[in-house]
Formats: sequence, C-alpha cells, structure tokens
Amino acid sequence: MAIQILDMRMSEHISIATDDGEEINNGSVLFVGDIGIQTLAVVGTPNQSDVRVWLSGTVTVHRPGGINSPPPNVELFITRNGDGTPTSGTQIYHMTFNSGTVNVTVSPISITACDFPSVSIVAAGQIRYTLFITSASPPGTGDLFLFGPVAFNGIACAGSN
Amino acid sequence: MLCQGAIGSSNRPLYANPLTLQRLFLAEWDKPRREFIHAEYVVYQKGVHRLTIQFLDVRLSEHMSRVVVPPIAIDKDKALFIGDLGVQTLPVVGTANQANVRVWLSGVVNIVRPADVMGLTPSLRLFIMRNGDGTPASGTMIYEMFYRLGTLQFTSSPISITASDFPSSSIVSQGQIRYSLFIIAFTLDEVSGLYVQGPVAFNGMAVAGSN
Repeated sequence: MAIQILDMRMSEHISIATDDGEEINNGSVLFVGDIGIQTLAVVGTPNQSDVRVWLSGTVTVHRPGGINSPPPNVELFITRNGDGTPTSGTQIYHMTFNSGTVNVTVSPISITACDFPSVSIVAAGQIRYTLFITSASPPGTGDLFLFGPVAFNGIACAGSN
Repeated sequence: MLCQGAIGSSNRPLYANPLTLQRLFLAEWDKPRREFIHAEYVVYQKGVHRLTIQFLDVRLSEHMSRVVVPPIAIDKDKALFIGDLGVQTLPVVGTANQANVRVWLSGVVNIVRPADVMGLTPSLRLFIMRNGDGTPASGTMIYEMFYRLGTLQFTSSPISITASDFPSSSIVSQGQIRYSLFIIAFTLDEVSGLYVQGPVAFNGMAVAGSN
C-alpha cells in the first residue's frame, strides 16, 4: 500500500536556556518530553502493519566548574505508551551521555530513535512516547543540571510503493 | 470603468460605439498579461512547470536502540556498517517533480571512550554512501564528517549527523535511493580506543516540488 504520512507531533519542554537549571540526579527521574502520535489513518488498512516512527530531540545539560567528583553518566530513555511515570510502558530507547574529564561544559545531547510499532499498538489510533532524563549522581552533588533547551519531536509514516 | 472614464475625458469622435472602444482598449491593455498566462499554460502543458510539494517517504534504520555491553571497537582498517535505508521516490518518477527531490538524512551515533585509554587523539570518520552495495568503497560519497575528542577520557558522546541530498533526475528515476552510513577510526595507534556504544539510528525523509 502506498506511502502515507500520518502525523508529526512536538513537545518543547524548555525553549530558552534557563538561568540555573534543574539538578539531574539519581534521586528522581525528570519527565522532559511527551508526545502522542496519531495512527488512525491506517487502522484497518494494510498499512497498519507497516508503521514507522522517527523520534528526534535535543536536551542541553550543564556541568558546572569546581566539581571534583567523577563525571556521572546522564541517562536518557524513551518509553512507549507509559502513563507519564518512568517505570510504566515499554522502554524503546536508552542512551548515556558523559562529558568526560572536563568541567564547565554546556552540552546539547542529540537523540534519534526509531520505532516500528506492532499492529496491535497501531490499532489504538495513538501512540504515546515519553522522554525521561536522570543521572548516576547522588542528589545534592550539584554536578549536572538540565539547562535547556529541551525538545522532543516525532513523525510517523506508513507503507511502501 | 477605466474605459468609460477614457470616453468621458476625450472629445475625439474616433470610436462612435463605446462597446468597440471598450473591446479595443481592453484588448491592448490586457495583451501582455494574456500572453504571459498563455505562456505559463504552455509551459505547464509541456510538463516543465513545477508541481506542488509532495511528501515522498520516511525511512528508518535503527542499528542499536540502546547502550550495548560490551561496546563495539572502532578499527582503523575496517569501516563499521551502522546504517542503511532505501528512500522511495516512485510517485515522482515521470513527473516534473522528478528533478526536484530533496532528501534529509539524520542520525545519532553514540561513542564511548573508556577511562583507561592512554592513546593519542584518534579521529572518527563518519560517511554516507549513496546507492552503494553495503560495502564502504561502493556508491557515491555524499557526506563525510570527522569527530575528535582530543585528550578527553571517560566520555559517552552522541554524535549528531544532519545531511542533505539533492539527487539527480536519473537517480530518482530508479524509484528508490539507498543510503548507507559507515564509521571508521583514524589513529596512529594500533587501536583507536573508541567504541560504538549505542544507540545508533539513521533516518531519512524525502520531499519533492515547490508551490
């Protein structure tokens, strides 16, 4: 069945870099992106089994100066059809970021993820994707901050010619 | 109205019939525009005129969806094949938009450099081949990027790729364009000390035409 564009959705958590940022630590998982991509146009058609979803985003983090602790890993992950909490849904993507042995950095982290949802998932007419960020650092260490911008977008397409 | 005004401001008895005047006047006044419209129509009929914007395809290649343990070493002798997709262009083949296709390629490759590496400062080279056969030396190179961490260690670095391609009419005519992504190390050491850690994703989108 011919190629169909289904939907494009965007989630912009922070559009302008913040002054101090929010600490990223292992005490909590920050909810930084959330989109619902609609698939209704293919439900009940042959293209229902041929949906592909491209997820893309950028998250900017800050590592201040004067920090002597080992650089913590930033952990980013995407869940599908969760309820907005990090342990719900299916994890479809997991990425780590580490700025390494350098201080005073502001690093935009790029994300590109793909999803090929099954017929039963597509049948619901909408697929929810949620982006979370956390780190390996204990709370109060002050070695990683979510500065922004943060954006998380998705586009869905189906079929083949 | 313009014609009536012309009559009112003229006492010349050249055109006794106002309708004739109007017809002649309009004919002269409108001639360039009519000729232009006609020319545009002829061009359109010949298929030279651009069609409206068409969405063609989105294709995805996800080599790794998450961080893998152990990571995969990046060698200096052998390029790793980490992305492959075929973007379809069939709807524009044989139409005016065949000559006006654009492809956006985008991806992220996550690289790790462990803490215990004491080597030099290796470079990474990422490149995209168009219509190759899956080997790094085949096809046409359309994008090449270098990445260098310097003396930094203990890093996990997502490398972002954005490439553009404007395939020629003959390439588009095949109905599908293959794009393959490779990564290789440039280093003076035996090993680069750099690894593909994942995730790795490489996507493409094609659009044609103009309004």
